Amino acid sequence: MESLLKVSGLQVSFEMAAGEVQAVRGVSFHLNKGETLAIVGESGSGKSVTALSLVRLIPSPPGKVKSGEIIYQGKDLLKLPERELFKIRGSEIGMIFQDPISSLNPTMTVGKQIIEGIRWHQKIGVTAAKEKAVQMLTLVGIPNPEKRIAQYPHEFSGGMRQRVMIAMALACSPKMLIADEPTTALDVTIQAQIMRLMKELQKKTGTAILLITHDLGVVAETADRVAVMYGGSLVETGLVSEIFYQARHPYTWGLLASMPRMDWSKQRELQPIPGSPPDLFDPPPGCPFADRCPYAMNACHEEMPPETDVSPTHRVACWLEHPEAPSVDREKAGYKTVHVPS
Amino acid sequence: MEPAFNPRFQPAVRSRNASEKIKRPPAGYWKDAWRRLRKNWLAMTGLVLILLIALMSVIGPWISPYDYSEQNLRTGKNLEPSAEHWFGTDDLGRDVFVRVWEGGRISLTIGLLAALIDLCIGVIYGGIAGYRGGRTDEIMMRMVDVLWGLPYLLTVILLLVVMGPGLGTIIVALTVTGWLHMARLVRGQVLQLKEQEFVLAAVTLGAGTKRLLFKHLIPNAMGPIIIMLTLTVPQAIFAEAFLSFLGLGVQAPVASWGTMINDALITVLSGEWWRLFFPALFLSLTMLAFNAFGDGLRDALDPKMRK
Amino acid sequence: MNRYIIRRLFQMVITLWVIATLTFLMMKAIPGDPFSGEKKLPEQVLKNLMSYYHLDEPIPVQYLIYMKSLLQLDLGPSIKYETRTVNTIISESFPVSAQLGTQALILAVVTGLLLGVVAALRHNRLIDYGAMFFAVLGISVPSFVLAPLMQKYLAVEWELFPVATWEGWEYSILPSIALAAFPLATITRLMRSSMVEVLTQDYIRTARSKGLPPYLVVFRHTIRNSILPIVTIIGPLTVGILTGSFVIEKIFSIPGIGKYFVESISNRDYPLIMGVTLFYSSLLIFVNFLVDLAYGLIDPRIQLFKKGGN
Repeated sequence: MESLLKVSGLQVSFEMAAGEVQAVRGVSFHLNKGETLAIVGESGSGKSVTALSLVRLIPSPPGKVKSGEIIYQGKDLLKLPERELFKIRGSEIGMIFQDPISSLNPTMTVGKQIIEGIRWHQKIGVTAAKEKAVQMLTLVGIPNPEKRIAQYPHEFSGGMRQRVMIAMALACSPKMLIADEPTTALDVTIQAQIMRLMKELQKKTGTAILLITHDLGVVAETADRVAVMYGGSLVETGLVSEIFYQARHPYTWGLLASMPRMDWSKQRELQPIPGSPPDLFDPPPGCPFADRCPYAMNACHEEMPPETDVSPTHRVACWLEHPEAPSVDREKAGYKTVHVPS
Repeated sequence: MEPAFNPRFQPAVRSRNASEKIKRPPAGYWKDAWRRLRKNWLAMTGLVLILLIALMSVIGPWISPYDYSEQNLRTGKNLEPSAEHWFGTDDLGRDVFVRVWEGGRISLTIGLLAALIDLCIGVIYGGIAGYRGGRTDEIMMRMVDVLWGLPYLLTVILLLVVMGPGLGTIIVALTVTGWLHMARLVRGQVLQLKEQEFVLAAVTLGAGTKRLLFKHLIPNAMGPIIIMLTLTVPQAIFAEAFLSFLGLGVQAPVASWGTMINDALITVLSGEWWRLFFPALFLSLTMLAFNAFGDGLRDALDPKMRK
Repeated sequence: MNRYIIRRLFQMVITLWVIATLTFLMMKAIPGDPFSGEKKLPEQVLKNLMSYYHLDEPIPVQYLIYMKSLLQLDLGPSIKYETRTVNTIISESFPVSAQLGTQALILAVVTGLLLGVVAALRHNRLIDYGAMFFAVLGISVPSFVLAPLMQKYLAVEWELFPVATWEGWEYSILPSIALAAFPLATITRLMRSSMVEVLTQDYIRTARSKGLPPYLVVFRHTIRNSILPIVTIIGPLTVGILTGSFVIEKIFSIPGIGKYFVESISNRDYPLIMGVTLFYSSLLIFVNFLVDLAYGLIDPRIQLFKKGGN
């Protein structure tokens, strides 16, 4: 499979009054053409900042990409001059955001908001651009697009607004779509519709999707591959099947155990992960999860674990992978009985 | 075969609560605000200036050998600033230095009193309207709306025409229209806070009216109220100077920055710059100090800015 | 749309009636009469004067007479200027004040918006601090301090402008600047903070994610949304300019309404005081009405003109 985007060693931090927040601490991953990669993690894990940094959209100041490479089709997006980036944003890489209410300009008709992107990138006339906008609205399933195009965002429902956002992001047929928690702000029933729509459009257009989410249900349904993020770094990356059935990182186990599943009996309780994420003002020197990890060893607190390839597609950063580490019963892990080696 | 013993791969010993520990000490709202305010040099300069001007207004007239109304028509008219008269004298031979600080007393008194009275009326009126809500609120706010439509200074001028000039009437006239802002603000705050989940939670937990008011509503509405207060003070100082300038304020021989500037208008042509300069300087400095301090306070107290 | 305007017009009439009644009652509450001035008038003259101005009637009758003439848009005779009515004084002096006020307002809005935008785009840089410094200065230095200082330096010493009076356009420059300083500073500050706030909004990020260059993001998405709060303070700023013109016209000896108003206060010329108050109040109410209409046009979320559901 051909790779579209390759990120390596990305570090992003925010200068705050109280100090520097190291939001992303050396993240590497890639996205293949036409696939869906989901980055999962809890709030504050750095997943949204990672996504925004790809097209240099983090608020700056205070945000700053400290180091790393983002290679998109041979070009390093971090080194590209601003002007070149304007040609890539929107036309090569589209974006959808979490909150469709605040992400649309309230004083501009949705038509104008879709058209302006088309006109800027494709240099076509107003009528042609308008036609294209109507097409896009039809494509994302908005009834009456000719009439709706002249309406303002507040005249749309939440789900419809997110459809508008999708139409806007896909209007210039980008090769890649960054979807930053696209369904979080929506009703559950609408969530499924939106995800299905994105999947459908992906089939039609072959757009690669980078999906940022904390919802493992959404991941299971739509992603090809998953990257699990915690405390500013990726702890485990793999195919959906590898993450859901052969997870190797204790954080991933915890994440899976905290998600309700259809095949579980009623008696089984959801397992919350005790503790709270690390303070990124002053991150611990070792594994970010060590404080909450039931298997934590001395090494975990001292040094960042190296990344280990479990299979060509599956990679994990955990000291348990070390040959000298005690073995953990992975079958039982994530269930109620936690096996601690003596 | 047992692997070689490596301490690095032994289970880490840690207390059960290690991961639940809060890493940073929680900074209280007021402590946090003070920390931010202290870093804002413009606001701190404003605060220092306010204190200095207040201090001089108290001791200024006292350290000078002259009286603010003492005239010297024969030899002391329009003297330039000198060791004798630090800020010079005016056309009646009165010492400008003493008069400037007398004016400061009046300005600060009016500013602070007007702000305090606005606060009392506004908090009570707005608090009742917001807390009771419904019909009470409707009626009370309709009344505010009618008065709101009146142009502020024009109303104050009319009131002063009716009541006659003077320190007391100025304060009354300023507060008759001034409390509206505070009342609206307090009512808005209370209405908004009343609907917040933490207040609903307190009600669910059985908090009484008193506890609600003093533990939840007032402390949370405090920030905007204080900001409004610091902005009311320069507004009142300006209004007093404006009215005195128009001859509606305090009457001669009492010195006010407004009347002093008015009396000094002819010096634009005749050239006794000190008569215009000093009252103008201290009026502007006082306004500047309060505005800078108020701005800084707003930035410091605005929880949205909290990081 | 029509229903809204009719309702607003009705409200405006009520407010005006309240103001007229209040001013009338306030004038009646003043002890003494306008003729108890310096020189004692003969008994008979005083009596004639009192009856000419209906001052000898009972107060309810006076009120009815006053209201009746108001309905005919007749503000009555002036007491100080015996040969002129309040109507003629206003119609003669208002054009002067209107020119001065309009010039000041335009200067304030245009410069204020520009400075605010530049300061916001260069947030926390030198130019931002500079603009904010001048804005705080403009808010803190009262116009009646600024005006004599400008007269002294720009007019008397450097002779760049005429010192005072009203004999041509160049005479309006200094008073317009002095009058504009406060609203200009207010608009600059508000525009800056509003724009800084808008720049952090999600929809600005959306606009940037579309690949729009900064100038398009600023012009299409930022400015229009940041201007909304400015529109709402145009009403209060107009009030400020009107009341500010009282002192400015006095300082520059400009024959506008403000000058007459200030004189009418010291002359106790009640019909003129009431007339000017009513005239300015109606003007302000009308400006506020226009501002509300403008707001409805700029912000599509505000539905002034109910279209019957959406």
